[in-house]
Amino acid sequence: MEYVLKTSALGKNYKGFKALNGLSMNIPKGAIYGFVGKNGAGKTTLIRLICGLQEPTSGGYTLYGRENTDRDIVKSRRRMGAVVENPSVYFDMTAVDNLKQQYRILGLPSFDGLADILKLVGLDNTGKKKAKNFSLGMRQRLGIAIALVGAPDFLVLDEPVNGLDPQGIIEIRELILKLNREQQITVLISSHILDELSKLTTHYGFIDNGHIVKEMSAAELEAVCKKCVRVEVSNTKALSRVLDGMEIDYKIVTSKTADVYARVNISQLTAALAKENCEVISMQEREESLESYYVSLVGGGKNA
Amino acid sequence: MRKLLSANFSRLWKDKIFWLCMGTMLVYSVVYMLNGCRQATVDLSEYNYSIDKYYFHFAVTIGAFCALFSSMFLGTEYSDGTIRNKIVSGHTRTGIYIANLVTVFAATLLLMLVWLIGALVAVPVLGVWKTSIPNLLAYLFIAVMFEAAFSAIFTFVCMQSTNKAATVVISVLLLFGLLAFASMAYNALHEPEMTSGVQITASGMEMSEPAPNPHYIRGVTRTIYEFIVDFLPTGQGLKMWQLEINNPVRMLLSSVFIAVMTTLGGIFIFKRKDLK
Repeated sequence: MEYVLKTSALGKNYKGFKALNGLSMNIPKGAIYGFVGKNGAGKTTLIRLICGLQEPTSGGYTLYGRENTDRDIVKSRRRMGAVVENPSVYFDMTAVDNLKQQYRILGLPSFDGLADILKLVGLDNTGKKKAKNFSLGMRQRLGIAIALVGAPDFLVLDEPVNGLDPQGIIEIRELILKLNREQQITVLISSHILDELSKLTTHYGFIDNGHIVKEMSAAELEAVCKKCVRVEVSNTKALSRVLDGMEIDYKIVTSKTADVYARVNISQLTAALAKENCEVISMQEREESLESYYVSLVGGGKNA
Repeated sequence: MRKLLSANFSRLWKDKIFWLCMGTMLVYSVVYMLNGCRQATVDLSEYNYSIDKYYFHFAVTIGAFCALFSSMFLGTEYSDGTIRNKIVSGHTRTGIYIANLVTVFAATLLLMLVWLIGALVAVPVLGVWKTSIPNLLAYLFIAVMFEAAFSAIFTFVCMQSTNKAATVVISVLLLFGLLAFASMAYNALHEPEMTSGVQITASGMEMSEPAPNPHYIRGVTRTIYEFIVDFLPTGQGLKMWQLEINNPVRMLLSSVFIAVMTTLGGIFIFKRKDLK
């Protein structure tokens, strides 16, 4: 598999505080990689490092096959577009002037495609309105528009739907999906809104305390989050014996509860458990969401 | 670098602060020179002043314009976060730093040019320069070089400070600090060697015998003070104001030294700076 970005035991310290602690992640080409973690987990720090805004304290990364220590890493960065935290726009300029400025920074010979980019992000009718008078959503879209100048292959979006209204969130989501499907742009997207991420991403990286606790594809996550029946019994050892005998997939959750990943015949199960002197206290059908899976991975948190 | 300069200059032509500085400089030069015309023809007509007396008076104020403009213009890169676009787009930090320095220097030169053009309003009254053309060009060249030093100093400040308001305050305070330091040294050098007071005697007021001035600086200390005034761009400005340039080579070398060292130091720090 071809990777756009690979990090290897990446570390970043700020005055004794470890923002990143041996972070290793891999972003396949063509993926929409959802980067999930609490506030302060290290998401933005990683994005700052790969954008060249900061240097790692330890470890390293490769961007389009170039090591971060390679002088030519700047050439790889030319294939990137990024919106880090707040959109980087000149507030005293119009949307068109902001884009023209980015065209000049990239040294593009003409402003061809400028109107298309503005149309793509829905800012084609802003006229002479300056960015300082834009709504938060409009600024966010302008930030993405600037990131799209020069037709990047890799788009990095740090919390792109933060503070947006529901309509704005839908628009940004559709834009990202469109860019990924129609222009094959690889996207790294960090977000707190897990349900929103689950509608977009093809791959996930769960980060906690500066390192990746789990990296998986959307298909793998779907398998993990599949429907199950939570069974509460008096003796889980007996339950294990019965379910093993019935060749049913399950997971013991506590000393009295277990998740059973199959449609079970309740009469057969209770009869088999009765033979083992095990009582069934309750049964509940449940489906693990991305949120509950995330909480189980990182142990919960106020800001998740 | 060419791309960054293109982006910087296109922003410069649309920058309100830049045009405000240009307009202020033009009005300042015209009003100042007209006042000079009045002084030269009415109040101080016996001194027979020419345009030379006033033409280089921008030399002290240009530093303030450079400090204000650079901190507002470059500070926007941090306050709006747009410096990130340049780095993410694959530009080196050295390239970004030098492009910003060139832009600030060019803007400062344009501000000086506006003064020089505006000051020509005095020509009909005061006539043309009495000094020789090579001397006039030498003065202009020294001015260009100490503006390069000013630009390098303020670019250094602007590229290290990420808070726009703080950058403006630091730049202006630094300018006034340098100006005060140079003024103290300059004034100390102009203490007379001998002083004579007035004493009242039975026969009326009499001048006392000249006595050595205790504030007169001599020896190594005088050499150091002279070096400080010639070394600092604010000191050079003061000497240019008074048409007292007597060591142009030392001034030029000092400006080059300040510009090169602050730029090398600035790039060194900026390359290691964690940006947000």
